[in-house]
Amino acid sequence: MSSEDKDPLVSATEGVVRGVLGWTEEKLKECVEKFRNRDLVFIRDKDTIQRAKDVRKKGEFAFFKHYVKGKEFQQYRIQFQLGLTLRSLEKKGLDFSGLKNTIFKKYDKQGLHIAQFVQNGIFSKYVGNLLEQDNTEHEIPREIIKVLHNIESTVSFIKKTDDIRQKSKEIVSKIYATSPQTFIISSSGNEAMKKCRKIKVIVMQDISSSYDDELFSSKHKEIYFLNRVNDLAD
Amino acid sequence: MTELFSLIDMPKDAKVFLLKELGYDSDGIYAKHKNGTIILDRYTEEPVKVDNMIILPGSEIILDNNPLSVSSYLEEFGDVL
Repeated sequence: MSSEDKDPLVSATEGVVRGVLGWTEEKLKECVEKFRNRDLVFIRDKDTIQRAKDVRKKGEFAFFKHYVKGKEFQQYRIQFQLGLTLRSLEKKGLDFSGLKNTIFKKYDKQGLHIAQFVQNGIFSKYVGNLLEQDNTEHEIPREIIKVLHNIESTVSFIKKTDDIRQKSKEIVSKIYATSPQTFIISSSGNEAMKKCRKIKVIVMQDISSSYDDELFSSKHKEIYFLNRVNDLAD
Repeated sequence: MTELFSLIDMPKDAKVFLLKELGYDSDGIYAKHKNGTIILDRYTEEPVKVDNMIILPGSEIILDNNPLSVSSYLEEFGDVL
């Protein structure tokens, strides 16, 4: 093909390519060849890829995928990994609001809450709580999937802007409606933690005959597990 | 081991050339299919911008560089990177 036959736009692009910062046409073609042979992939920054790979190597994810198998639960496994990614970004003091928005846009409130369930360390504490209640190996995956599936009715994430009375009422209603084996009230950050404590007290006034409460806390997080008493006595 | 080739410092013209070499197209802003339609990220279903694209194996998958798309890709295709 003569140079006159070439698409002028392509020719112009090639011309620029030849001249800029050593990105020669030959070098790019070599990269494409390597890509086609699966010896090379084109990424943007290493951090995003590396973080996603690191998350998949974590014991917490290995445990999760051991129990939550199958294509039908692929979405939960992705949300779980994104929760670990949120945690990793938070620990490093990096902004994670963009990722939260992306998760919300794709998976709605439930998916975001599953990711936050993992981010805040509630999942591992939930599993510890499950094991303490003498669940069998067959019951564990069933219970894990159940809590993820029903996350909106079994976990409450307290925000610093929440109204204490209204939120308490909402939680009591949810507990009476479904009588879950475990209900979780979670908070992160000083203001939310203060509200969470007050909410827990009000909620327990209503349900204390049926539920016991257990607190897991760290410097910036407080998580209350409300466990149905009958199940503990079994 | 697969080489990770960063596009971060690659000039836009070179990225467009790369897309064309792979049988795609671009207006300099969005990655496009040969027929001119904008490529949507397989997982977020958002248009993929040339400045933030990654190209991964598996029938040449062009994605937006964000944790959701990368994690979804790894979950679908396994630890191929």
